[in-house]
Amino acid sequence: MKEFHATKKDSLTPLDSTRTLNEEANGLLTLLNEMDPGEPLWSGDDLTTILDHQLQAPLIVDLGSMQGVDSEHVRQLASARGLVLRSFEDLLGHSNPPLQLLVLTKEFAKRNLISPRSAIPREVARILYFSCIASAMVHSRKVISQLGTDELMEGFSWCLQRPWLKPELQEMFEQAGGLLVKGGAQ
Amino acid sequence: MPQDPHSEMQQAPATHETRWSLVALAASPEDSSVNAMDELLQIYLPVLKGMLNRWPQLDESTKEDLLQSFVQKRILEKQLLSKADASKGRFRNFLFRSFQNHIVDECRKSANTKRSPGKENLVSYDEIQGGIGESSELEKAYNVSWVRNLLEEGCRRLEVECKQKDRMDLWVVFCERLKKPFLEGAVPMPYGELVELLDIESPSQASNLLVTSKRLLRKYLEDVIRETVNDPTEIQAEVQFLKKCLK
Repeated sequence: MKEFHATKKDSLTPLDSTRTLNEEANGLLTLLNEMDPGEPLWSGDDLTTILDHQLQAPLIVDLGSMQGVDSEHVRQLASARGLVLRSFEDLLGHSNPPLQLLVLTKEFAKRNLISPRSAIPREVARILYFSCIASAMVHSRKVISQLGTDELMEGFSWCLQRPWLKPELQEMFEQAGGLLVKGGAQ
Repeated sequence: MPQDPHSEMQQAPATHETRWSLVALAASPEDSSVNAMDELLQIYLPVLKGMLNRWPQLDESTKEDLLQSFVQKRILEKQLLSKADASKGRFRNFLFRSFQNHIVDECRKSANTKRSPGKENLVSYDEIQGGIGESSELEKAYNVSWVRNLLEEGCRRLEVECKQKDRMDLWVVFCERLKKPFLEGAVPMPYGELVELLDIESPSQASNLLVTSKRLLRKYLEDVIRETVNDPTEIQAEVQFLKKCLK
């Protein structure tokens, strides 16, 4: 009789005998769920990492690479009046940010939000988009969006509900929300 | 590297016979039945072995004895496959019930052998009785082993494709973020480390690679599952059924 051995496929992944049956079942179930198109693609930890990375990215490189944008113009805006705006974080947190740069960044976020080929997760692009609007309101008392008050409030609330949002952005959204209620920005 | 690796890697590997057509071929008197039987056993024996591996009390020789005697007595001598009926449900369930009955028979035989000194004792009754436990546990172990084998086959096809297309970055991200954590219980590699390991620009690039590899595995997994169902329209229902079995 021919001998049949159950070793050919079994050897692909050695069984970890320390895992219980339920632990292994849960791991397999999670992996199956990961394949489900309805499931979120990134965990909160992933989004924190990606948002951090995006905020620290050189804005001249990202904004300058947008179609129809002159990178030299971006460079001039980022260094005008003695400014040293290297990253998106520098821009959003600045006490007197150049509005043109905030508008350009908002456009960058919007393009990434709607592009199916974007390298930035939609959640992160959406945070960046509303951060630009909130920054202009908080630091310059200006509204750089065509969205109505309700839509802006809804957007800020959505951002504030992200558990992976950075504390400094959280504070800025709360202030911007307060200004919206009081009508403190134009 | 290509901008859209997913579109470049759409071509599925060659598909196999569906399980039921393979079963019919293996059960037939044709010469080709030997190869079909060989293929069928190479698919299902690791699943049965994976189920038995759940019980550390069973030593390797006991597991091998159970599998070999199942193949010899049930499948070959009693022509088990000729009794399989596609209209009565999944082949893997039929195989599980048959193997479960075989284990019970071996237990009885071993118990009798114990009472008759001098006879060959193939499988220790105590080993099996103490090792197998509840039949519902046995069934869950079988389902876990089945899903594990499906996923591993999907992963194997993904790895082959990544190697052929020189896209090992996809494979590495997939292994470190999904395969090792969920199939082997390892801690996922942080994105920062993946960026360094792969010498890529950013965590979002690593995330994109992961998304692409997930899409690819989903496709390969569907290919593997398609081979186990009667009709391709049953694939999604089968995935839901497998999830239910794991809960």
